[in-house]
Amino acid sequence: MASAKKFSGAFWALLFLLTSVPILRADDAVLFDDNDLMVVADPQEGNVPAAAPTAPPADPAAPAEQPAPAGQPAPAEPPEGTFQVDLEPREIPEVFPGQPGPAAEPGPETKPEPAAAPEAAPEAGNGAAPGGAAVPLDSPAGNQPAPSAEPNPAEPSQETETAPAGEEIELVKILVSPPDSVLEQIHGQPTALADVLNGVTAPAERQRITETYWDVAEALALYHLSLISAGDIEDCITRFTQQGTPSESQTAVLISARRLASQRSAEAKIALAEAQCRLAEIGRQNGASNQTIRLAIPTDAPNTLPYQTRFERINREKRLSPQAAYYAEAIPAYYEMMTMYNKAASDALEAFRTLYFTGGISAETLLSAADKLNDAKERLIRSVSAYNKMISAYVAETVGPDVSGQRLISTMIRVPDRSSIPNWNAAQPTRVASAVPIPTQYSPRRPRPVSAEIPQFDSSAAPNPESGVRPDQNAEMLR
Amino acid sequence: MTSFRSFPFFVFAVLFGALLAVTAGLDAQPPQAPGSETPSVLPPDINGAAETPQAAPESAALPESSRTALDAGKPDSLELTPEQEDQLFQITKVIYQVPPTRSGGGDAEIVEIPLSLYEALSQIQSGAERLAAVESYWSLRSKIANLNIETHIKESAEKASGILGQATVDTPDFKALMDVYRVYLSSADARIAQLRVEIREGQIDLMRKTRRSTERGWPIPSSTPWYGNYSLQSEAAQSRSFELASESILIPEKIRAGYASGFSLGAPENLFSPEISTFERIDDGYLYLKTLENKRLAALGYVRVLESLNNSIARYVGAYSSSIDSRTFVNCLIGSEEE
Repeated sequence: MASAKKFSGAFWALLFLLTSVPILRADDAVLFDDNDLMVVADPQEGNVPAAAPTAPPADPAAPAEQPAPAGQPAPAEPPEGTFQVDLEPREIPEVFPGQPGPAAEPGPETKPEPAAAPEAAPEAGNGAAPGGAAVPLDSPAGNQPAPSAEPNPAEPSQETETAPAGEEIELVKILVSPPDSVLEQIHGQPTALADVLNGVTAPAERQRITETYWDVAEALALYHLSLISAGDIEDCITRFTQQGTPSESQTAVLISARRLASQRSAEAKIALAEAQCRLAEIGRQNGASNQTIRLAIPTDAPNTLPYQTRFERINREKRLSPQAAYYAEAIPAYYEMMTMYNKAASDALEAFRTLYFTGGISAETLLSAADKLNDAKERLIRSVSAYNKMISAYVAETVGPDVSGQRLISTMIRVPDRSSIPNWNAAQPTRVASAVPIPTQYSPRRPRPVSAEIPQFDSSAAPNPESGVRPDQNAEMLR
Repeated sequence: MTSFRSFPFFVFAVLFGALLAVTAGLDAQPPQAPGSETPSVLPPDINGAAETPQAAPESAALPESSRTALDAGKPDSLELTPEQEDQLFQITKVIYQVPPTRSGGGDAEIVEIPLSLYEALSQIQSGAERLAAVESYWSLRSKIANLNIETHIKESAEKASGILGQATVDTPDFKALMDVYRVYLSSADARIAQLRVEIREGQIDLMRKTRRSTERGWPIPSSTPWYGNYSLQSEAAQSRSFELASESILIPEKIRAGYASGFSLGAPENLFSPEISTFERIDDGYLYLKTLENKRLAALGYVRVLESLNNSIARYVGAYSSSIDSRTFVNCLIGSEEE
């Protein structure tokens, strides 16, 4: 028995080494042409220094560029009547504030391996006690801080119905903590929910803004997920190329899966940009700087814990609307749906990992498992977004306009520990060297969006009404 | 997956594998316009474009996508090399072929006429109406492209199913594989039927928004959506309104997404046919179908991205100037060669 265990351990270790080191072989080059082999890791990719060439230089004016609260003018406004795009990427904390430290970061750069099995996650999650979990205020006036309010025994208790913490941690990371390599590819500035709600008092408008904020968070998570899924496909390709020469059929299906993953990432990125523009438009309508389009990168994590509606208690003090009663009924159902999708995603992940290390399986079987995993995660992300939108609708019915700032935020999500929020100007965190094959989109060599390619606003250049826009000179060549 | 290990089956597999290879070789020819006798509705210069390239030999390396050059050179560039432009042109041309679109239901012969974007917009002057008409036009154009994709994918599945069906194998595994093919084909039939309905609805919507009647026939959009780089021209103009500014952010993103989606489809001659020449094992049957499905989804994604891009361009141009005439407006959207 002991020898069997020893053999098993050696097997896993050997397999891990094999799957972690990209090996470009002649066979690969034939089966996967240059285009399809571009994911083979550059030996230098795993050695990106902390101050990578793509890292933005320390900006002495950075404090002034911190997310400006909606409704307040930006420090440096362009001339009246003009628009400006503020697209400079900013550093984002790698881990959501308040969460346990930056341990092994799951995601596309992390290869599925037994050591990272879900069983290990709950331990990390237990440290994230729901002490600051979101609850509604007991009354619209909100005389007591929500987090310290006594929970109503008749209502769901966080202590008894807390979602599996490990799952929450993984989910939160997917949602709000994409790695630098992802953030470098998108425009915008880190923006808290409080920032976009600042100065907005109408509950209905708050709800609209909050829902759009979660739309952006959802789109960001789905974009991140698309890259993770592309990484899963790359893992599958590595798996089959290291087992030997893939057959013609295997080669065809693996390449088609890679290409589909690339297409999906491109589409997810569009959806993210569109969601960001929608949020910016709402901010403009609510009095944010009308000279700057400020694209937001959400930094607040959505609520993934049970929500105490305290409906009975609040309803005794202030007769709530039937709509609020509906939300109070629906929120637990949405929570249950979310936990079910969470379980489905965990099961799909486990199934994928198991199949990944199972010998002799078909490429079709493994890719189908990867598809199911992607689908389960996508549904999970959408369910989290739906759950938080339901909470924001309930808050709009129960929290009055006199409650604002962090108190308002605490009625919807767990308020992050501000002391743990990394300084935006802190040195760029060192990337964890990764030796596993990663999709091209993750390549640290890939430059961040080139500002020169983004339309720049030059107020000194007078528009020429005579010259309508027209397709580029490449038109003739393309046609 | 179970393999065919018995010698008799192996011999048979090799035989019909060779048959499949021959068929696949024929298939590898780029899809022709739906029936050469059917007048094509593609723009004249596109019809007269380069002859379709010969299919690469099966033994040759898989066709290169231009992503290699993109990644090696300018990963985020909006400019394409001439080779990349040609490949994207070929891909888009194949995707946007117009298949037979006559819907079933009733004996009446329905006449369908090509309708260019300019023709569709010629009777509209209002900016809002024009934008609604453009969106309806591209929506219908996308549905027709989807019908083209679904039709080709189904043909490929049918061909593979037919070849597999010739096997004299009677094992449960093989029957299960054939069942999977039957389900796939039934689903494809259903999707095609649904698309025919949606196309008819789209035609009604387009006629309503372009103030056209059915006297001359049902419109089939013939203009190809824009898929290349797009110059936003005067940067100062973008500062005039929020819509101009936001679309000037989205359009470059969508162009990049269009490139990524287009090149993700692979070589034009293999858009709808997996690069699989033989079925030696049951597993190959499943892999063929999985590859086909991946190609289908990627092609549909490309169409979605181009529709989104072209609607963005229309919004940008509409916000840029509300007073330009229809011809200039169309030129700003898809170039001047479309009439």
